Amino acid sequence: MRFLALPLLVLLGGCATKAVLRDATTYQVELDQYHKWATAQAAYLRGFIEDHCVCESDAEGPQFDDPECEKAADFVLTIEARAEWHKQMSLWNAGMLQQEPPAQPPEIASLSCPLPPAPAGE
Amino acid sequence: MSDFADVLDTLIPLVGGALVDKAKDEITKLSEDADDPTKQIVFALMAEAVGELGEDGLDIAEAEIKRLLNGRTPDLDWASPRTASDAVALLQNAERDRKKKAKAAIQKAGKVFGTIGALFFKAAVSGAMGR
Repeated sequence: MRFLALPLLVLLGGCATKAVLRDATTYQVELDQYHKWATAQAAYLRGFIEDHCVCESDAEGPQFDDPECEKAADFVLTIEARAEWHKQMSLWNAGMLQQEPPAQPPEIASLSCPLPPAPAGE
Repeated sequence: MSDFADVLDTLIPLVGGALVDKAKDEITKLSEDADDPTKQIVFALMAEAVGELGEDGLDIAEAEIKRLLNGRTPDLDWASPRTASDAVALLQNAERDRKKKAKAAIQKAGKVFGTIGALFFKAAVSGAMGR
């Protein structure tokens, strides 16, 4: 039986998705740091957009006069809506969270100029 | 995936020079009409690849979507942040589902081994009593 164990492990190993084993504390601290970087940058970027970007008069097409403002605004709205949910899912899938996050990620607000207000807590 | 292949077969001749915008609009419409979240993301990624990368976009999108659907790490730099977030959410939810199934299988196996263990224990006790 023991002679079968090694080939069986090799065969099963080929079927499995690659997985990583991490130190839980380091993983949590890393995740917190990336989350903070993203959300803090989004908050600053929102301020810059509100102060410096000009709205496009034709509301049907692009919302901002400058395409760079349009792209920046899309990042701000996505990070504000989704950063927390993605972080919770990372922790849940790592077995580091008690409360299971909802299956459906939060809706991202439509791109508009001026930007819609930031969600509460941002 | 057959829908995906059909769309590619239909649209590859269209994607070229001036027809890129038309192809992007066609795929965007398919994404909006899709009834399944995975199809929606696949079509949205294709539309954005064509919009961002032009006629090379479909080939790049096809390769990266295959990586995404086969559980390998895709490069989605060309996708908008909201579509990239949808793709990551798809992967995270798939991982959650796999873990739930694995947990259920382990619990079931635990019950089976528990039952077998109890039977062996009873047999051992009754054997010892019979001596």
